[in-house]
Amino acid sequence: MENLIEYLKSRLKNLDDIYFRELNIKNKKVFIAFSDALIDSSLVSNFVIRSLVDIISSDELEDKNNLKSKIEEKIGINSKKIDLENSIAINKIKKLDKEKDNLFTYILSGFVLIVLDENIYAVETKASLIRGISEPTSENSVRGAKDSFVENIMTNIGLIRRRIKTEKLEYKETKIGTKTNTTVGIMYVSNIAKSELVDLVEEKINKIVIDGILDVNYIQEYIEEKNESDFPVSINTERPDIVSYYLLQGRIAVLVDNSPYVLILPAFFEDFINNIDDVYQKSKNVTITKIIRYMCLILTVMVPAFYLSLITFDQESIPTELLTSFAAQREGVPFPAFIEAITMVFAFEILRESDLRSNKISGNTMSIVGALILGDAAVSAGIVSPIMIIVVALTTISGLTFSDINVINALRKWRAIYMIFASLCGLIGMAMATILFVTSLVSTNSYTKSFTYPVAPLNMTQVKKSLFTRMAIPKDHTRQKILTNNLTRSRE
Amino acid sequence: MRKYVIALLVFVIIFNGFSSIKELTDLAIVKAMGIDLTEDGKYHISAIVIDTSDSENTNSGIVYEAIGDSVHDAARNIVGISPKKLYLAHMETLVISEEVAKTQTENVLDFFIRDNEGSNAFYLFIANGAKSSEIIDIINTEKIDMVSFLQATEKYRGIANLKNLNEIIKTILKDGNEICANSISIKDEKIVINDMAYFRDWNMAGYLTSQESVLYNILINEISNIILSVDQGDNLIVAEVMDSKSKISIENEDTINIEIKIKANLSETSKDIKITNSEKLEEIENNFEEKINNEMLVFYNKIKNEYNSDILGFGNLLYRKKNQLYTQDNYLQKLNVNVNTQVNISNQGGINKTW
Repeated sequence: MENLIEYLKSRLKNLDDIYFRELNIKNKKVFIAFSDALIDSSLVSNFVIRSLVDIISSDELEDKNNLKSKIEEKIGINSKKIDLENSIAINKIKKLDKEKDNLFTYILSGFVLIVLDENIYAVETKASLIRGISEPTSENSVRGAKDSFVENIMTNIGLIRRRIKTEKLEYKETKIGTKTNTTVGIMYVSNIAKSELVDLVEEKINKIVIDGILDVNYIQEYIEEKNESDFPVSINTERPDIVSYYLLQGRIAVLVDNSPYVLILPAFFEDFINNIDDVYQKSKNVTITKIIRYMCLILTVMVPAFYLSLITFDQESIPTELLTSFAAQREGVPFPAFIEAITMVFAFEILRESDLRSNKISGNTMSIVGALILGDAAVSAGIVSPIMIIVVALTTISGLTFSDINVINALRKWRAIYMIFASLCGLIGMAMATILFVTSLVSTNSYTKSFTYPVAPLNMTQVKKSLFTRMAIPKDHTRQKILTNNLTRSRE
Repeated sequence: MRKYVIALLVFVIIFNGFSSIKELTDLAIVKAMGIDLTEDGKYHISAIVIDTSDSENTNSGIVYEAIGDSVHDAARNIVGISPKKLYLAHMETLVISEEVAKTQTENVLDFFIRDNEGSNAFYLFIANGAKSSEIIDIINTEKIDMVSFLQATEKYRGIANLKNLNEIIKTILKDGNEICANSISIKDEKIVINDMAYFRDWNMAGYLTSQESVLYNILINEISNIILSVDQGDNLIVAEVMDSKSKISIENEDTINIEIKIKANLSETSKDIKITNSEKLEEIENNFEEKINNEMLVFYNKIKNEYNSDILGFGNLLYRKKNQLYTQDNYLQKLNVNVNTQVNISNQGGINKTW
């Protein structure tokens, strides 16, 4: 026992937050060690130490008249065997093996290490080091649930289990990261999700060797390693209702401790355009919403390029009044249209990027600077034409209909490609860029599935169900064949 | 990445659009153009260029005038006065003087057919009794929107049509088909759209009368809401055409059938009549039909005897049917024309208004 204590103390001597304590209860020596930063001190005092005192003292009471114990008491030793595992008032306790288990991991995960009678126990007394469940910040919900994931994986699992209360919702976890030792778990509904997909994901996760996992994106990059497309092939979400919705479709969720985002895979292009909130709204009215979103997709990618090709190549396509208005506005702008457009688009990207990074205090300053300098003063100064502001504004607000940052960034890249092509060859250039864009989309592979499903490969059932309309929930009896073999929703 | 570079290179090689880039600020957007002939036979061009220097007021234009040996030469000579090159794709109006129309139509149209920049979706006018530069000046100073002016004339008077230069060129290039063009003149310092001018062998030959212009437009299906009137005894009955369809077909070797179907609303009578029974209405319809039939026949006789220009495209019809008659020079003389008009008066007008 002394050797072990010496060993622990020497290894942890530079960790000043580790606290060692030796107790002597009725001549019985108990050694405890824990990290002050990770434990809940009232748990340690009230339950661990008090339990130890109670257990050891009560053992004494029973053997009061025992001759052996009297002798032992006299000479100051206590040889009672104590069954701590079955008597301590803490829900999680584990007997550790000195050789096999890494004792430090336990201490550094918020356990209290108890050394008693040459036995080592780890007792969980983790403090709650997380914030409470709050509203989602990056994905707005109009009518849906307002809770969002937090940094604690167990809370996140709880949020999902609250919604899907079946033993078929399986959860498997592993620890990844030689230094961080992060819990990574996958979740799926076992009789809906395709087992080959589950195996594929499990295999990919188990192959990961890295010193640390800090965010779910680490996992995403590992399992999307072969995806060379600009678009992500898994959904990042912070909303448990979205995760539950997709789990019931047969998709797989990947959870990572310390990340309030959950990964859902496989994902199709359509999933990034359409929003789960459609399901919470009257299905008949969703059609217009969806059409607006598709328009936004086209607008945010093509508007600057379209404007460029119209005013530098295909002036005859613009109505005369509009052209004269454009020409009058462009009069006095010193730059060619392409430079003007790229400057403005770039300026707005700067504004967006700084908006993402800035703290809330300087946010006001920035909106004033952005609105005044970019909007008004640039026009007054003759650097850009007012129509360019409209073009860029339309592009930006259309782009904001998408919530996934990866998609926004991918669309930004394609916007630039479109602009370059349009500035070289006008509308024909845009047609070329479209060929490239579509080629890039259809050649993207989302975990052996096609990214552009249900359009290519065409699945008319699914197109009718979800592309431009949303099927009324009582009529929607089937799941998607691409995601599951269990097609009937009403059957168990 | 490599495939993108290759794709880009291929695209750039196949379609190099670099040369056709035009910055908006380098274009002088021409709204209307007039072509005259000078005394020594040169072309005199006057063009309204939209003034883009004032972004608040883009209505005003500047007239530039230049003289050249050809239309293109004259257009280029404008660059000497205007800082920018003329851009013709947004032209709305082309006015050519009678002199040009009578002698140089082919040359002028050739320039516009060949110009790859223009869309040729503008309207051609013959300046009737005035110089086209004068008309251009009035269009500019009065800020007349020639397109809506023409549309209104076409719709409510029927003496002009909305065939743009493209359609006129298509017609004139057909075998056995002559064209008619809208004409324009100045009356009391105001612009007036006049009766149509007819062409013979690429050159203008004369003007139709107002009535003939309307009949011509009925026959080529370019009519909308004109007014027809007929005398019935001493009662003048006026009807507004709501819909008109005409069909020209060959019946026998030398007989042309013209079928006209007109739907009209009764709009005015000079004396009170009772149209309580359908017989009375039929009588009015028959009167209209008879009148139009007669007018059409008179018009056709005038075409073949006086104008001697196949503006209705009968020759083209014969040509398409492989009719031997077409090979003869005076085929118009040998054709018999039947006109069959059906007038259907659907609405007699009510006292009760819905508002």
